[in-house]
Amino acid sequence: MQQNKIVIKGSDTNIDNLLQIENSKIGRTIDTRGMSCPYPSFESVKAMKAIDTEKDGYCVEIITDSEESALKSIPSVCEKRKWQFVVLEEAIGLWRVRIGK
Amino acid sequence: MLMSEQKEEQEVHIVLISNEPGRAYSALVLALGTVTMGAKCKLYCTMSGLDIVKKGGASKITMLGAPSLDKYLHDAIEAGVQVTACGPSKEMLKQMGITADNLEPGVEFEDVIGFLTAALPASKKGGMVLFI
Repeated sequence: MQQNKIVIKGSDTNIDNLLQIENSKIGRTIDTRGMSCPYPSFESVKAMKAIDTEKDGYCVEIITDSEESALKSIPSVCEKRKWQFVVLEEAIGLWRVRIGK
Repeated sequence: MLMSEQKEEQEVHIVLISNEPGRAYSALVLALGTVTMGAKCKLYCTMSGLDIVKKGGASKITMLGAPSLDKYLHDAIEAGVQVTACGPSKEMLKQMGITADNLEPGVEFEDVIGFLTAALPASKKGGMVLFI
């Protein structure tokens, strides 16, 4: 599952910056599959507020089966809160979004 | 944990006018979305929407395929949504079986003047007041 990751969206147009978020240490992973709106975004913010970037790691990873959440909602929330993010498409209908401050 | 940003000025004030799941769910989804976006949110439950804030009331409100409404309510309160209940008169509340002791923790009574005291300045600076 890990091999076929494709970066499809991010907070930066520079791929190196996006890969930096992608390759940074994951502080917390949240599986939001099956959750209804607005829980994938809500849980993302909650996790970002809860992690200690010094101790736990730099980013939060959100697993989602919602295209709307992966491509629109979570990116919008990140833009509003000025967080960096990268969206990885892992399989058909499955995305991982990594968010860093 | 508070989810709104301290510097964020924008506010959304929601007035819930019914216990119907279609309205109650919409109101709480909007409230959760508001704090997710970093804005401040207040949910004012008027008389016909008081079942939601009565202790245990929200757990009886359900919608197909979604968790029961109490999850939404508790998450909203925990995330900093201010939830208030209309308390027009003691007699009306008594008739509806509502007292300060059987309100959900974190919910407070407020009359329409209390609601407007917060909603008027919020709308003046670009906030939203919504009736659901």
